[in-house]
Amino acid sequence: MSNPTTVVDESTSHEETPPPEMHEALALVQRIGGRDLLTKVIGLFRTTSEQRLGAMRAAVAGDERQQLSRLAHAMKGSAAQVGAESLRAVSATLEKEAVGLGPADLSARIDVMTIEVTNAWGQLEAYGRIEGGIA
Amino acid sequence: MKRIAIVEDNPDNRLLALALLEGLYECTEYETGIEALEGLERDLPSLVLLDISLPGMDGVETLAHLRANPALRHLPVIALTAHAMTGDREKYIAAGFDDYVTKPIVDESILLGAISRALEGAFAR
Repeated sequence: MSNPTTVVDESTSHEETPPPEMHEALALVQRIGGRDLLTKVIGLFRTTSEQRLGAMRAAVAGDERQQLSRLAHAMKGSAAQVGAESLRAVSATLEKEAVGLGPADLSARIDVMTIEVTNAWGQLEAYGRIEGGIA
Repeated sequence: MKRIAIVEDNPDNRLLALALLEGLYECTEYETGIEALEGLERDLPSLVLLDISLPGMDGVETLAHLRANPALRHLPVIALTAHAMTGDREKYIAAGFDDYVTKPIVDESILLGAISRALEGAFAR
């Protein structure tokens, strides 16, 4: 994987209402490992999603469509694991379409992905605070 | 304690699988099919959880190598996949997997049940 760069502006992160899929996914996490595991899962998702966004930007810049599709697949899997449904859907679409899109469209998709990642972070933070007792 | 090898490239998915199984099984993690094929012979598990969409050598190809290896061919292998489409179960069973569990895991009893069945089946073989 190429060297990731920070592409999400923390100041744009905002609280969102967690979707039903997130409640379902994270209820399992809490059942298995309580607050400690919930904290780890949310923290790891933040790290991996930010790294993948950086790698996606690099893949678009290098016109590496197959790599972009693989990264979108990985983002889809991570988003599904935490129930970030909107990010999962955007990732699934990019995974399928990355190879056939033009450069401008690819950049636009990454911009949308960035917003969805930021929203997912906000949703996870809200879930952790409300349901998980994470300060 | 029985030992399970988890072959999964996504660290988010691996963390949850490990959290779910630790305490019940002794787990070893592999990120790629090639790494798993090298490691499984040295550290033979009781069962393998194998992601389908691995980078490089995918899960189906990894399984084919595993089934072709006399030291590993007897191992029960459960496919882990987000490719939940009609006919997938039959496709993966036909490819040589013992069972098939879809991701994301939202009900731990599905995975734990599949593992128990596969281990019992392996014992009966």
